[in-house]
Amino acid sequence: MNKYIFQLLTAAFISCLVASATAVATEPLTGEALARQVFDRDRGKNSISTAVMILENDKGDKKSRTFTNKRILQDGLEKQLIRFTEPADINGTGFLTIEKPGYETDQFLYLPALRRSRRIVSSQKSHQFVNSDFTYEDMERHPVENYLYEIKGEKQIDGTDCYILETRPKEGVSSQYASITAHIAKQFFVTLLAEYYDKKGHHIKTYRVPGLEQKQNIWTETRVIMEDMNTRHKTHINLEHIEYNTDITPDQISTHALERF
Amino acid sequence: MLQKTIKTGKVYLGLIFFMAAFSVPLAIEAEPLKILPILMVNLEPSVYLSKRTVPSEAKPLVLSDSKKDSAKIDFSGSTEFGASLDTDDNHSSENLTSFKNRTIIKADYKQFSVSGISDYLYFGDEDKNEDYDLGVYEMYVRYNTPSWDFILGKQIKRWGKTDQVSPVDTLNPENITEFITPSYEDRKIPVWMADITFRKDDFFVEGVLIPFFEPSRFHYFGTDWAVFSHLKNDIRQSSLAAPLKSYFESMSVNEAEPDSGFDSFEYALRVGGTIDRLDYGFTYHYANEDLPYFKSFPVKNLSLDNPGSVQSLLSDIGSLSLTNEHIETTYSRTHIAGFEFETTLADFGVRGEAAVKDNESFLTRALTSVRNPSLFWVVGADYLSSNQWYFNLQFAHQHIYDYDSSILYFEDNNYSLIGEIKKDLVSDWLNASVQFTRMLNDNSYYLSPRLKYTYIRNLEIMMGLNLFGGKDTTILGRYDENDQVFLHMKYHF
Repeated sequence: MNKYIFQLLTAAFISCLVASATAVATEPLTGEALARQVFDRDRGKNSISTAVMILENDKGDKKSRTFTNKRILQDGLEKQLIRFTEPADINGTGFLTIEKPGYETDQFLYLPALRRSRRIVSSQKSHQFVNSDFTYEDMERHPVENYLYEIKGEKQIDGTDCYILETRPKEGVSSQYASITAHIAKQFFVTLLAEYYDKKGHHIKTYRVPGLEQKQNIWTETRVIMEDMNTRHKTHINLEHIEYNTDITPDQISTHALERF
Repeated sequence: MLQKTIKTGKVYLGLIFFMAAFSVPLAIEAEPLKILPILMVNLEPSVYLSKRTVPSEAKPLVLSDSKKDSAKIDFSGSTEFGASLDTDDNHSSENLTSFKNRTIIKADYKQFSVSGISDYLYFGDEDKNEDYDLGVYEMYVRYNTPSWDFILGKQIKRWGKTDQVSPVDTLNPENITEFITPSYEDRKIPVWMADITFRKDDFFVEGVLIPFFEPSRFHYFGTDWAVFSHLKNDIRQSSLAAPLKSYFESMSVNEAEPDSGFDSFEYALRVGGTIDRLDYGFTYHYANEDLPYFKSFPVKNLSLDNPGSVQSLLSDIGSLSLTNEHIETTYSRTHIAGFEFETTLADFGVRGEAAVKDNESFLTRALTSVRNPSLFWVVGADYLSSNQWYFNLQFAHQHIYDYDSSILYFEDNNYSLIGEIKKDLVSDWLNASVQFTRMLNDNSYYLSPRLKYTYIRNLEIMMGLNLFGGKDTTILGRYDENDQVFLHMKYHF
């Protein structure tokens, strides 16, 4: 799964949920090994992309937003800057995520009207990101070792063989989700379908990947959908362009860059 | 009636300053900029999962996080309309209605940005008043390297971390012709400045030079929010003898702005960074005050609790000494040292600021000013609950050193609570909020409940109330009769 959209929008848990395709046939694949495989999958040392986010309510009314995303991997930790460019009323709104050791993140929001960035507190990470069906938590990576994994079986998704991996946060790990059931493509360790469950066991969200392509030899989600199962509200992310392994530098993904609008 | 407008001469001087500064980035641009180049790459068309093949097709890729970095000129802007209606007709001179229209059109080309503004403000009814400004709003050029940022031109530079009130945010003056009813950010006025920042990891040093003085914008007479409110019109309608009426009618203001030249330049420095999850900054600003120092007032022996109240003035009319002077105002120099921080603690965002001024001008009951050192600090926290209630509460304290009991509105220690409560009512397109300021010393307050509707793309519609309360001798209570319902529409393009 492409880290870009993955991390941008759902990544967090799903990225933790994959397995080792190269596992020796004689050794049974464990859930954690699968998750490690997803987590470590090549997503390039950096990427720059543009995408359209479409918010669709249960009546089919749609609102779209265009954004750019810059991501860079530095010393094993990621920094990511998302900037909305359309429509005009949110043009310039920016969101910066800086990973710290342990995969805790510093998150900052920039609103052009305020002309400064604000730190976002951890409690806000379970809230919707710009009123999409993705939460701030969905936009973080999470350490593989923070979760318990179990391979629940295998299933085909659109003709692709997948592992079914169930992920639960370990005791003491804070999460809005009690569990996630993800379908991971065996061949390239991309989550193609994920169902999110709350602490009451209710299926609250579904993540799907209707579009997947290889870009510069990196499997990349070109279309993803997150659906709220209660409200039937959907968020579509349609990737327009992406370039991996560019010459962007860490200073272009910083609080200063965030405020430079 | 004095109306402060954009001064054409100052704009020309600014242009010269700007063009001189522009030569630097032009020279630097000879080297290849690594800022968001436009690349052509081979991209595959969308292939759905069931196919999963990888044909290719050349498409342009704009490697930019901002439209303004693209190679074409990008136009954007907004136009807004506002109208208000007083909830009560308390006073014969008051403005029962107001109307405003502000349009800003902005053009961005690479690292250059220019915007123009058309700004109209009308206060209606008996004591009518209107302002119109047309001119350059912001105009700057920017150059960035991994370690350096240069921004030269007319701009707004925001320092500080707190909301609605910000002690260290002293670089830009404010438009307070409608007092605090517009948002803090909308009140800010761009000024010509050169801003240079050096960064190294989580540390930065920023220097600012402001060559031309720009005061805050306000009215002395003739509006509900003016320093002397409707005093002239009230006197005109009073039972005062005709010569006295004529005397007050002819009262005028001589404003002495700082001379242009190096001696009036403002200098500012900001040093800051991030330690763990703490963002901090230390600031210093050698400034011209944005609000005037009242050097003299033609009527002597005054001791008014409310400078806009004709009753207060007339009650002592017999003991007053009337001179032929004008109201003389100047703008004083001051040193401002500040500190700002922002962090997160558990579920709360926590931020604060403090600023010490070696001298700050305060209006007295004699309607002249005194200058006293002052300390102003604000600390606050915000919280967003799981069901999308947003709370923001800040505590502010102002201390006036060497306090003079003749100072209007303020005591030696002034405490206030400033905050906002907000809730999305329907998705993200209808929200309700309440902004408030409560002065704890005198219990005066400002309260503004609002409804904001944003369902239509690029259009914001807000309606609400601006409510003031307290004794008419207090900073907020003096506007007690200005309670109003308002409608505000803003369209972005």
